[in-house]
Amino acid sequence: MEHPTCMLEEVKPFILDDAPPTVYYIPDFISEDEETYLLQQVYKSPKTKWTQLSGRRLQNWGGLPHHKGMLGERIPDWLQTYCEKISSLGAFSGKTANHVLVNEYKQGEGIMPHEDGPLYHPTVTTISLGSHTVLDFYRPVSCLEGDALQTEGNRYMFSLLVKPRSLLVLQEEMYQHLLHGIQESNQDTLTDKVVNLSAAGAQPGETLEDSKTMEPQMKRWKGSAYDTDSWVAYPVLSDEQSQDIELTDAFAAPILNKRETSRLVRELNSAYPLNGLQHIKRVRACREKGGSYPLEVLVCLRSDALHIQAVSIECLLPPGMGSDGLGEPFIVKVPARPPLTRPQFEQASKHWPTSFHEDKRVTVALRGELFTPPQKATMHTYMMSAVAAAQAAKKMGLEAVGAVVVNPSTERIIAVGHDCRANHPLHHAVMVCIDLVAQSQGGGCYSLDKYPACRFMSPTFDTLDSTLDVDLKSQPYICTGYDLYVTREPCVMCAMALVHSRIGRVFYGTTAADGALGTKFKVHSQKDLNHHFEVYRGVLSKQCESLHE
Amino acid sequence: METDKGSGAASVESFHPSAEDIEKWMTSAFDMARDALESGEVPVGCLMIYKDEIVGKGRNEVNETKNATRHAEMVALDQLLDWCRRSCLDPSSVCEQTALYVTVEPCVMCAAALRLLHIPVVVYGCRNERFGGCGSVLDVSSADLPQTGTTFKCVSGHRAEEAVEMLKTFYKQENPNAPKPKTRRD
Ligand SMILES: [Zn+2]
Ligand SMILES: [Zn+2]
Repeated sequence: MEHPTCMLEEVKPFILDDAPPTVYYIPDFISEDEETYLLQQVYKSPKTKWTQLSGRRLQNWGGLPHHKGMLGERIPDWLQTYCEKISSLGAFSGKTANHVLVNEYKQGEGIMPHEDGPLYHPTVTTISLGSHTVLDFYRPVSCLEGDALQTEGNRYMFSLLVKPRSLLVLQEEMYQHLLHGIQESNQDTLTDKVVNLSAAGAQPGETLEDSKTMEPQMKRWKGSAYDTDSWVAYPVLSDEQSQDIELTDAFAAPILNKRETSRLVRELNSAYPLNGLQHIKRVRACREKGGSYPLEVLVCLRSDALHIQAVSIECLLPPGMGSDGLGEPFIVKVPARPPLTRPQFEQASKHWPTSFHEDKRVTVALRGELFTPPQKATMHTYMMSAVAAAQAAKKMGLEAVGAVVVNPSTERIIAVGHDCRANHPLHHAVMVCIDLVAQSQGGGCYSLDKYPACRFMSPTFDTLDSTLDVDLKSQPYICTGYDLYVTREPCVMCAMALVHSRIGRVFYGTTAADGALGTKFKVHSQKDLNHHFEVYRGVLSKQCESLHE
Repeated sequence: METDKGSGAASVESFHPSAEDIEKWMTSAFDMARDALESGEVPVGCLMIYKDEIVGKGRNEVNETKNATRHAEMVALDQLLDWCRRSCLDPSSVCEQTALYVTVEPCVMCAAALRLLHIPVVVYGCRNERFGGCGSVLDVSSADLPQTGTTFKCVSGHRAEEAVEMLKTFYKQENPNAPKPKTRRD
């Protein structure tokens, strides 16, 4: 794990003591000449570099904050200089920022409270150009008691005044836990809620006119630093798919004259149709080298001929079908059911030629190759959040199990939870996460205020989510389409809770002795249940295992 | 009646509800289920009884909490734990002598929760073919799961037909073609 706490000693005096850990506010970090130069460079950039959003427009440098763009583009020299200058303060644990968003806020523009997400090293550094901004900080929704109205107003905590040419560094709780935003207003009156008034050289009661502000924000995109080759996600298939194939006895006989094959097959098909065994081929090549007859045919199943005493070809064949053309019968084993996976197909084919309708996706998954490296990088970040939650639990003396619920279509984390069974014997990490998802939609009933690492993202910030069918949202099947990442295989209670919640897919790190998604049961593929889902094990297996050392 | 040899079984071996207990508490559970049905809710009644006292009384709260795990049994277990806290009693010693009376076989999840809390006896009415965790879908009640609490005894079949009838009536009402009740939107 990278820790952000390795800023140089010389910048420690710039920590703001009146804010949660940790904010560095460094006034006049750059000179007026540098400010002018940077503004010129921003406006010299091609028009296509700008993206217009409601309330602001921005330039994106270094690739999109999305797994497909993670290898991204080179940052231009005029920005790279400042990435390096800031990184040399230790802001990114000795590494260099590799992603810059340049936000332009015109007078009266702002941004809704938001967080920057888990895909970055947990640090954001901002240089302000042109004008000041007042940055407001909010508690995440989950931290309020019971039914209290969760308005922006009562989640508001404090503000920071950010003057032009200053450098602002947000880390730890300030980055990972609180939301930040900028009000849309034409002027700001400074109250004592602005905790850095003296550091920013301002007075309470002072009113500042807004004008255009430019804010290059430097971050470090984590994806490329991940060793996604260190783990493989394997599917946990149903028993039908993963068990050894079942065999049944049958009689076969050599075909004496190859030219009579089609007649013999036709006659045998009508005398002994292989009902329910359409996957079995009727004829096979003789397996013994140098055998006298090159082809062998399946006469009938042993169960078709139970009444027969002495086994000879004459006895096996029904009256009316001449036995000429077939040699003496012998017993073979044939697969009783069609193979569902390539390993089953290969096993079946050793006994008798079998047809196979291959599900390519399953074959690739069994090889551990279903997910592409960028997909694995994304999965990696989600499981890292679950591992971090598990570590938070461990620190509090709780069981080290963490879980994260993700909306894969928006790539947003909806809820992060960890085991809380010291508080309530049934509050396993998965149960906690399910309740947090319910809380994110205005429901839920667990009180988790004691556990700051258990949190949810309000869907208000998840704009793409609002396109979801309203009727679907009013159903309690709240995890429909969502993925769960959990460090350890869920128990049978949690596994069934996921069925009730209609989870989309489950990814876990390590198995558990009483696990119900593969070890003791396979609840996700249990016959008779009305909801089935895919399960993959082994995601970040080493990190997940080491939680229990 | 056979006894399970789960861990801690020795201390609870003597604990078993009498025929009168069953009659009395199942009557209450069925009254609850009927009330629920009449107000359009899942017709399951569920009571946790400790020393002849109701210490938990759950009804299905899935819709109001938007949490699909809030089955009547889970709600009743939470009430039991709250009751222990209020009475300053150790939950594990209370649970060991608490019986669950419920009109329908607990689902797989609830059966596991009952194991995790070491509830020794569950008395239920009808089988739960869709989700049952005491043998219908999986047998969680007696499975070998050393890290998932203790096994529990089941006493089943009390007024089973009546419980099935109530479920059938409820699912008929839930028919997707039936006009939808107005849901609150905010
Ligand atoms: Zn669990
Ligand atoms: Zn249940």
